[in-house]
Amino acid sequence: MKTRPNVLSISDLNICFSTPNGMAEAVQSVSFDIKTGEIYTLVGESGCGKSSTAHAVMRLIDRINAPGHRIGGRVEFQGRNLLDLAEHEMCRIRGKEISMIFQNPLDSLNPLFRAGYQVYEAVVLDNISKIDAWARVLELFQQVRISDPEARLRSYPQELSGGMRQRVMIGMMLSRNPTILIADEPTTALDVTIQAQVLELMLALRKTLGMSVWVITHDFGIVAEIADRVGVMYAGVLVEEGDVYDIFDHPRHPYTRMLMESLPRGSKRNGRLQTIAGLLPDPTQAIQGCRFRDRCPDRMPICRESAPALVEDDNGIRVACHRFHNDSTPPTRN
Amino acid sequence: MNPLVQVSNLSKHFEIRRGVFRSVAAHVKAVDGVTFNIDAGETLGLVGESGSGKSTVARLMLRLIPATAGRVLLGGQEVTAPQAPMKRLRRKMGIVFQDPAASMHPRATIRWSLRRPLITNGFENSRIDDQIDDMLAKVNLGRELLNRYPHQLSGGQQQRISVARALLLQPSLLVLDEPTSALDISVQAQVLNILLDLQDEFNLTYLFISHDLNVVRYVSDRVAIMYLGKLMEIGPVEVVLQKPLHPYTQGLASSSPPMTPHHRGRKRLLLSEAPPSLINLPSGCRLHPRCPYKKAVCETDRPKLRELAPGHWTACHRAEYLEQNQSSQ
Repeated sequence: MKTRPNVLSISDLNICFSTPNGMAEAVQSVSFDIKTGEIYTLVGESGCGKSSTAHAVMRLIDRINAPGHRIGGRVEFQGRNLLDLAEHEMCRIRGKEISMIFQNPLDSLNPLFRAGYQVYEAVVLDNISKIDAWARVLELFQQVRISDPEARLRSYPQELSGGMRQRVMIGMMLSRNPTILIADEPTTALDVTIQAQVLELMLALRKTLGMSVWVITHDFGIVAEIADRVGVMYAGVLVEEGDVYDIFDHPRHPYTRMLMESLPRGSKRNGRLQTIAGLLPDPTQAIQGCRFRDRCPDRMPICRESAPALVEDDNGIRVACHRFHNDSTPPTRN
Repeated sequence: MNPLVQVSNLSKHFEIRRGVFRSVAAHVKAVDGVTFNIDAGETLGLVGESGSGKSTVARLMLRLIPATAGRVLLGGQEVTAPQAPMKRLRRKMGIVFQDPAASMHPRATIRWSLRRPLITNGFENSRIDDQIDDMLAKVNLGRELLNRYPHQLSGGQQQRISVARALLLQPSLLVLDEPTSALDISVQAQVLNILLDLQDEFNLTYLFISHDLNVVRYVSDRVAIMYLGKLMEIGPVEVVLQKPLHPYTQGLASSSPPMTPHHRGRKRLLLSEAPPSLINLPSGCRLHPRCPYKKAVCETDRPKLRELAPGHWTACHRAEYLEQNQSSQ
């Protein structure tokens, strides 16, 4: 895993949105790489900046939907900084090289056109004949395991079930063989039995097509099921990142540790759940020091003075916590 | 001991009207002959996918919608009877919905929303504020929230206000319809802890509806599994979720994401396809088009709930086979 080349490098990404209360720092100095053929998951609670990060990479934050925003940093893809590209250049990358699916497939599909036609529209962008294009659409429908694909080509989105719609979206995104597929909460709107089918499909497609998948989720169960590596975000900052087995077995950052302990396991007879006291910091207020310090049981005086850097240890785990950097031993779970 | 809640043969069929004369074209059998009991002080988890009818059961139990058939008894009194004294009965049952923001008046203060049930039920003005203060303390919220509006509260605070409001009249039954599904995990933990503390303090009886098996397993004593309006399996939560005797429960349990990546290679039963339409239900067992264990009998005969072990009921023709299969492993 470690020797794999990077396909996408995000470095020092900053995103600020203009709000009535002043500029809100949604993402602060986030840096991470996505490697070829891996499934990278970005996990965090609502408002942590995980979706904003993906939207910035896809250049979906613009003057119209976010007036007054500021984006800084580098997003390197194939030797170019995506943040510097002109819109017409980005159009050649968006959908072709990097594609993205969203939480609610019904919002992404046009209710007035048949599912097959909407995938066909993506396929013909590659200048192939009509007949070849329709054959490709059918092949894609089979590839994403849509049952009775010939009939489904002619269905309208509202005639399909939620899982089927998300399969159509995945098929559309695969149509042009992207290098990276970004999936923003791809199964949150689906039932668990359907979620399991879609996750299986994503694992199978990664295997056969070898593409990189970047999954954004709030659900540690999904991380446990499909991730190779995982990054944990809190209040716009990447606080911990590493191999999924390592993070689940030994979460280093207090936030990751407490979040995992707040998940219900077993029965109420085993005691109450861990909670995290306090609230998220106000994103419009400039914060000195660690953003988690007011809620952290392990805080030290230094946490108030300087923000901890994301430092990599010998095992390839990166953690942004002063305590972890001072003690060489990671805090153990009990 | 008599159970606090007795639900027998409860059904709700919604009519679909079509055409010029709005004649009844079809029925949606949202809930179809559901029977279960809940003991006082117990938590029954109710699990199912969207469209399984679990929220409809909750609404029927509180008579927020009228039942097509069947009975609901609360403490021996029939809620579904036409002449039932609903105002008095409703004081004994509370409900908390999934979306706390949508269940509060957006333009009224929290104080107004909390005073409402007490005023309606004729509490003395002098006692109302004390009762509200007591209840707020029990859900770990301060009095300063009373003058705020719902949108000024976080999701977790809103949901704790909903719980407080539901408990102000000291009900014996609290129906919780996906109370933590809209919340972040750290906030979910706060709300679950408060619910368990309140249950211990007031000996409350919970019907806890959720699609998250880990949450249900944590809070429940017994669990009922629904699929397409029918009860598939019911029993002690550890038994049903660890050794399910219904293929649907097996499918649901193994579809749930694992707690750690070490469980990736676990043995799984993935149900194929998606649930069929509620208007055009399959014959026989409703699961048979998706079931890997189906036999000819499953397509023709509807399985009845049978008690295979004390307190463990399942509606599957192949339950004995599943049981043998499990014990031989």
